[in-house]
Amino acid sequence: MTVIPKLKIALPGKSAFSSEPRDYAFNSEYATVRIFKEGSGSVAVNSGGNATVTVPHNLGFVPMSTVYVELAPGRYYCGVGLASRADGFPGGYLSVSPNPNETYVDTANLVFRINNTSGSTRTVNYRYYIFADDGI
Amino acid sequence: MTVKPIFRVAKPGKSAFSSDVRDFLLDERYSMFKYHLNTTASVILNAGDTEASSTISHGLGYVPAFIVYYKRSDESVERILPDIPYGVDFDFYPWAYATSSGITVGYAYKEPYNRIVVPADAFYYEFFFDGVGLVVGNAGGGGKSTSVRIPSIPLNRNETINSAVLEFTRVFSGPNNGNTKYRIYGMNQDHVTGFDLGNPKTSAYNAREQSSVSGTWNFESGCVDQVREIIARSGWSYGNNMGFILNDDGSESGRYIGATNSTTAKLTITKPGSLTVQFRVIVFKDKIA
Repeated sequence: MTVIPKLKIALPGKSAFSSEPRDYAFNSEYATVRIFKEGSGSVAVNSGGNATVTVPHNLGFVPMSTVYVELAPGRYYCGVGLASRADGFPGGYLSVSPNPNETYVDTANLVFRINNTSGSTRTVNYRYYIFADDGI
Repeated sequence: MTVKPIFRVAKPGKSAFSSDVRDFLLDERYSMFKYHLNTTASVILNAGDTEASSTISHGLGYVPAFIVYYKRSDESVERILPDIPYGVDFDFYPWAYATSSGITVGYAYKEPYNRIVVPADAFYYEFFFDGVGLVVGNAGGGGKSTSVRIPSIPLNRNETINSAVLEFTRVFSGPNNGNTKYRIYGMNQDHVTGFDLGNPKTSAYNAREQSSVSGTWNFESGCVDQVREIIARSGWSYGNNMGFILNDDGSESGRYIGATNSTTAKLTITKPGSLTVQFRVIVFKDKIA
């Protein structure tokens, strides 16, 4: 008889023998999403202009990734997107370009472009996460 | 020699000594997002709204990483944010942001929800000043009228509507202070092609008075009963053209509404109904800022 070892850490109040995946903090039967690389930065973007941020990962495969960008003071929006109307849309606003030629991840880099139509130069803060798992 | 222990859990069939980061379920070299909160929120956009939002508190005191899913009440699928189309206009989209106190989710429309705006494509002015038309009123020795065509109306026959407004932009008032008196009719036809002031009129009309306004302004006139009468016609079809006639109704001399070189017209229709957008918000303990 072959014994396959398992590593399980149940959440408080839950059984280590539960069949419900949500009852575990960790369960070797289910893959996890690990953070391969994370970091923060800021970039100055002129009004009417844009700035491209390139983060190398050199994983050799296209990884899952996400970016949070401060499109308005104190407000970090997730990923490609537009600000709320309160933060300028459809008038002047910051945004992360949805153009696949400008915002993408490939086998070597995470690349995203911040566009600025706000009417003034903005210093934009961001944080990125590149995960140790295939994105495609 | 210092031995540094390493804790790793390889995936089934993979080696614990693999150099491929994807081969591990757990690896002390790579952290994972730590779960903090999983909750829901919903927003409602009523006809005429351009945005609705809701905020949940996370209590962390810093800006955390998060993921949001959403579902529109008129769709059957859940989607993950961001959900921004490329190559088309940003007519509507969801958004979400984190602050040090909460996660705010929302849904925005570029134009008001359930509000249709259709620009006019043709005018018939009875009277002109130096090549520019007079919309309605008394000039040139008597009352003058105008008609306008609104093409491709996106309404089904007998479709329910809340309101309809015909608007002429960048007009000016005549020189004599006082009210311009007028009536606004619809053209009682299935589909307006050629037109002047002789097209058949709807039984519905509004008799109104517009006071003088200084400078250049936008002239609005409600016409919902007229629109309802037209789309109730047996021959009405989605996408047909609609027309309106503005007749002077006894304005005194010099009381009128005049067009400028940049005057346009449009019909704005508001339909009933609302849109509910449900969000699922997953907040992690990991700090963004």
